[in-house]
Amino acid sequence: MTIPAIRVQGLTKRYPSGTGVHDVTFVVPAGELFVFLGPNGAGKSSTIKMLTGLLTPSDGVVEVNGVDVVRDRTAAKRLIGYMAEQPFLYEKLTGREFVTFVADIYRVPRRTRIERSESLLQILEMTDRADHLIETYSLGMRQKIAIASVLVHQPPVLFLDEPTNGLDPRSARTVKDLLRDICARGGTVFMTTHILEIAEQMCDRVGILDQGRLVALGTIDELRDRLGLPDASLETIFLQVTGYARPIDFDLFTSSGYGEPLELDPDAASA
Amino acid sequence: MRPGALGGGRGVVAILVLVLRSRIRVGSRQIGAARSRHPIRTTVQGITLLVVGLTTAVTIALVSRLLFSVVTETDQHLVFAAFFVALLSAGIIASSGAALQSIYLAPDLPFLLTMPIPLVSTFTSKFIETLAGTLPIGFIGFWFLAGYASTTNQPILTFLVGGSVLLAYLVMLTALGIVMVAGIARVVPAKRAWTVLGIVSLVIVASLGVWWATIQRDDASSGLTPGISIDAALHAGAAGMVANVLQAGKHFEYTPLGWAARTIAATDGPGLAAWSNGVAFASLSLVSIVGAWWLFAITFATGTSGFRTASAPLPRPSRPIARWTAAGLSYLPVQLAALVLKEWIMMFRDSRRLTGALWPLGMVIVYTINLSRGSPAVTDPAGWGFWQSIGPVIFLPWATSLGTAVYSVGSEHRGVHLLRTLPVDSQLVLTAKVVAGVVPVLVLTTAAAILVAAGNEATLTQLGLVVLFMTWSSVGFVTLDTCASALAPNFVADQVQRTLRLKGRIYSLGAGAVFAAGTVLVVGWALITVEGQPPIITSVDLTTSVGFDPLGWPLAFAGLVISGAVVIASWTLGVTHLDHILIGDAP
Repeated sequence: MTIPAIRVQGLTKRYPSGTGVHDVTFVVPAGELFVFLGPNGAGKSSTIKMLTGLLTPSDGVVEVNGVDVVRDRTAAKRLIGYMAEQPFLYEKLTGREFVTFVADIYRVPRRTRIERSESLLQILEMTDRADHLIETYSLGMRQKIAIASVLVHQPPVLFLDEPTNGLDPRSARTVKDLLRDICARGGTVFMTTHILEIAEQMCDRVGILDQGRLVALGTIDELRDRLGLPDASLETIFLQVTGYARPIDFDLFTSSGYGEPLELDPDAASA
Repeated sequence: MRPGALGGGRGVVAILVLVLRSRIRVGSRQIGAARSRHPIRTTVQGITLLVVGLTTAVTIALVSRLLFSVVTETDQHLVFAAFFVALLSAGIIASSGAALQSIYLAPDLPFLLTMPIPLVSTFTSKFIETLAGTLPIGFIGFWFLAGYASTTNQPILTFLVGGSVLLAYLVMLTALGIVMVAGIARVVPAKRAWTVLGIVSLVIVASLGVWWATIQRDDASSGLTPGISIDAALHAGAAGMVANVLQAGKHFEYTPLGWAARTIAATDGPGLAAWSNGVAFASLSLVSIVGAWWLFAITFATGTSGFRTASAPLPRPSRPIARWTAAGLSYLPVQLAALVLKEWIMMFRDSRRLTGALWPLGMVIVYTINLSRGSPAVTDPAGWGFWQSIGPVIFLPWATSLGTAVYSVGSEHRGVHLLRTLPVDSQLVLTAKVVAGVVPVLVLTTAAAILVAAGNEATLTQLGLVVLFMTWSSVGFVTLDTCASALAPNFVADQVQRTLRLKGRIYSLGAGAVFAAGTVLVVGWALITVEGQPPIITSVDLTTSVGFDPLGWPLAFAGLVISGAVVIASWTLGVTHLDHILIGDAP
């Protein structure tokens, strides 16, 4: 039997304020690009943190390539590359030093590390800025260095939280191509995004989380069939399964007109 | 005024009230949140603050009473002038730091800029925030004033006048801080502001130190003759100190600080001259506000955009140095070497982190200079006389470590989340931090110790022992302080000094004291073995009275057990806490 890249069984996270993630179960086979979607506050971050060993589940099992993430975190982390929505970087290191640091922590042999980091920096168009301090980087550059550091040790399973965040269209395309290529070569990508067009273009399968529960799981075609919406876009599917209804008629602006100046009463301010 | 801004004085005040009210609300909610999240810690911190505050207040008042009980009425203003000068360096450092933080680096500034708020309201609210940063200076001033008033039976008017003068002094300090920061923001790239500010502060402190040293009266210690009683020596020392204070005051008698001093000292006999001094000082204070506002207004846009622009021109860091260091670490396991290299790069490129090392560095320099000259109390510089002269140098690593290693875990800041994602365990991370901390402390303090030993005509054996002791001391104290840094790190603190919470500091000092006691025993045993028993105990036959030689192996054993136990206990605690940080749910 083939061991799945990610196996999640009955994953639950309870907080003092309530249950954040409720009995989530799914399997991601090796070589798949799985996109994890959900409205703000649905529990995506909690789930991804539990999958990467950063948060202890209240219940359930998480395995990466057959390794229990809770019981053997260090071994599991060797198999994982994780990039947070706001990447964790050392500001006082240069981009190249940072990629080298991560590669050394994963014990990538020196020659391999040099080859891989140089080609990654080149692919991501960061060679010119690689010797500048990270603290001088723009959001997009930080994202690229984070991606390079995640890929330099070529982990079998990648967890990426909004990987195209802050990237210009050209770089975003490069990253998308890179991720598809990784999956074609047997790697597994688990990513979240709020840009549904990207998800639709890239994903093999999609999981949609709403209020801590997995409300949809499958390929986009499977979800279309299940909902009886043969031509629906992923956006329509997403809105349908998360129960979106346009709540108001935006009459907020109609009473005084849009853009009319407001009067501020100084007495009211100081009262 | 920008389009859409409220016009008129009332509008400016209304907006100011709104901004200040929101700032106070944010501050009180932060305190409330801390209290509800960590009730015990907040209570302990509150009690500690109260105790430290009371102790400081009483000490300042006592010093003030001592000074004013011995000076004549005509010299009282000189004491105040010297006091204001002494506060000046601390005041400028406090106010410029507060100005940088509250004006140019404040997270709310970009938001305020987009609002139709008159610049004068923004300036005033930020001026008040900066002024709040100088309150500790005001606290010291108040208790000094209280000491003066109680000693010289001053009327209540003294507090009113003195309080007003103090307020004007703080306002002037605040304005000066803003002017300094505005100037810095005008000429240097944004990211360098802290470094420049640190250098400027260091220059101010050093200049005042040099000035103080040069004005010391030669006859200040003339009362200290051999055979003098302790009381007489203390009296002579105090008299010398008072003479130096008056001497310092005289240098500033006719400056604005002298005006402020005269105003306070003359409140019980208000002559026209005294009041004119007060009016002149208050006017100068107002002028300083106007000056600060003017400079703020003309440099605001440039300074702020400079601070906010991520692409401020910065030179490329020195890669060869990083490469050589990496080559030097190649004999270590690859993960350990990577962590140590990262630690060093972060340590030496982060000027804010280096500010923690400023005072230990100063201490190393002062001790090196002082101890190199030998002790006048030591008549025979050979044997035990040598160790008597250079003894304190063995504890330099403790002081240095207290300014560097104690911040090693907390200064990870957001990087701790990266460590949590990487396949590293707490033993490895802590080992890397200890190695990274030991090397600079060992190199710096051993170099200082060798200089001191050479200055005291050390023999080769003594030099070897010095190096051995420095290694023992550096490894021990740095290990303890690194472990202490894992006990209560504060990853969200901006200032390096705040990256370790009170619990960690107390542990660090306590464990350090125990290790120091163990070190004294081990060093004592080593010296007795090499130099023989010290002259003071050679006449006592300890073996006969105790039944065994307590200065032989039992001394070494006791020292090793005490030192070893505290290091092992600290390591275990450090690893446990770091484990919780790295694999727990939230650091």
